[in-house]
Amino acid sequence: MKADLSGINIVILGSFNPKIFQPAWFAANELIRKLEAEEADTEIIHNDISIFRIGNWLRLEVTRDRFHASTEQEAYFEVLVDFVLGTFSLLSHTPAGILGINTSMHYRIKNEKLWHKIGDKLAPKEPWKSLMRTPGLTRVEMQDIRIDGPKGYLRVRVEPSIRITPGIAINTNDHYEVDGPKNATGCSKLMEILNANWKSSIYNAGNIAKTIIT
Amino acid sequence: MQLAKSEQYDQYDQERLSIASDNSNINDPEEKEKIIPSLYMDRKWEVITNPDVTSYGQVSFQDCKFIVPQGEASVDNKINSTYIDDDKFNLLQKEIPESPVVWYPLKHQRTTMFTSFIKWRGVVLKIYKDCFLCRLVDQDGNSPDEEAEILLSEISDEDLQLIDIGAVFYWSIGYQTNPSGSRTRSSIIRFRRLPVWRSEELSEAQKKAEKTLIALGIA
Repeated sequence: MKADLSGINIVILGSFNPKIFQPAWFAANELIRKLEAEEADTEIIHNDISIFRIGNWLRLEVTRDRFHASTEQEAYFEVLVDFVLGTFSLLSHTPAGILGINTSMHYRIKNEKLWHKIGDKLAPKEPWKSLMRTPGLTRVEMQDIRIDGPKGYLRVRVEPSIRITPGIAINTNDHYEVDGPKNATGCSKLMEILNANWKSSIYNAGNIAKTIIT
Repeated sequence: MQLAKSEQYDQYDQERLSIASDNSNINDPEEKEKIIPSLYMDRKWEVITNPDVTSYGQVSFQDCKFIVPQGEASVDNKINSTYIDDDKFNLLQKEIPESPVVWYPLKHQRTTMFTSFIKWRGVVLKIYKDCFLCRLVDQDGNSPDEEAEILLSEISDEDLQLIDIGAVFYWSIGYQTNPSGSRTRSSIIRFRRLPVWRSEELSEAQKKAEKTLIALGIA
């Protein structure tokens, strides 16, 4: 079952210099096409924050402590990962110790009855009926601590889609931390984790969604 | 005797108000100074009754049984989290009073969305005058590897320089849905762009290879 809308985003927490993250810099290093850099939709480039869009496939937002690259175009998932790997291969001394490989999927549900059924499956309403007039599920979020591999956890959040009605949004946050993220002196270890795990992370998210929806 | 439902709820409301009022008479002298009874009560009451306070713009979902408005995420969680909220607009609304940056309300931009039927990862094997031979690996693993010839005219001008033996590209076939909802078949080919190897990376790789050889007893 394919999501009607799906996107991924990669979040890195560390110490960044937002001002260098601008389309021209990426084009000069051949991480994006020159024409894309010229046509970029820049929202802000500042010492503290940098936000721009490249075509309809990349949105980048960098603050002093957070790097966030996202795409909502399925055809560009791999391209986005390459973009991040390429960026931090050039900036390998950037201190960063926390990584999130996140997915966002929106599924259209055939009708409201089925929609409610999924909500009821995730959070049965019976226990609430004596406490509330019309109990409804706002959001449910589950966390699974990673036992083997890098330190971190997987969080799955289910809520109604604000993009599709009736629809369900399923977000996953595959969170990784390298040892002592505060003392990180570079980001190569984090990039190794990204390179090794992004694919399984995305496909695993798809499997989770299938299980929830069906 | 059992009260009618509406009377029961009225009673609950009265009880909540009463709790709020009671809390305003806390005996702790320090707390007493901090809490202005009427404000405290208003705040409590607002949280209970005003949908705008807790809804963060999802009031419409209140009518649905599946989901009612979302609650606030703790600020601490946000700082240490790598989670991204899809409903960013809601979070930004919350950040306005604290941030020195003036945030304009974000609207979901309707862009052309691409949905793929099939995605391949390709590797260039041979280059001809007007096409190249490649091996294609289905990204979903649903079909075996294939070989194909792709015309150079299919490749965007800026990616032509990246075509080389061993070069990796991504090929998606699907449809594009434009903001008005109409769909068109589409194919996207994009060559992988990674920075060139730097000398320090090459020497590091060399060192690793030498260590491996020593470990294996070959060197």
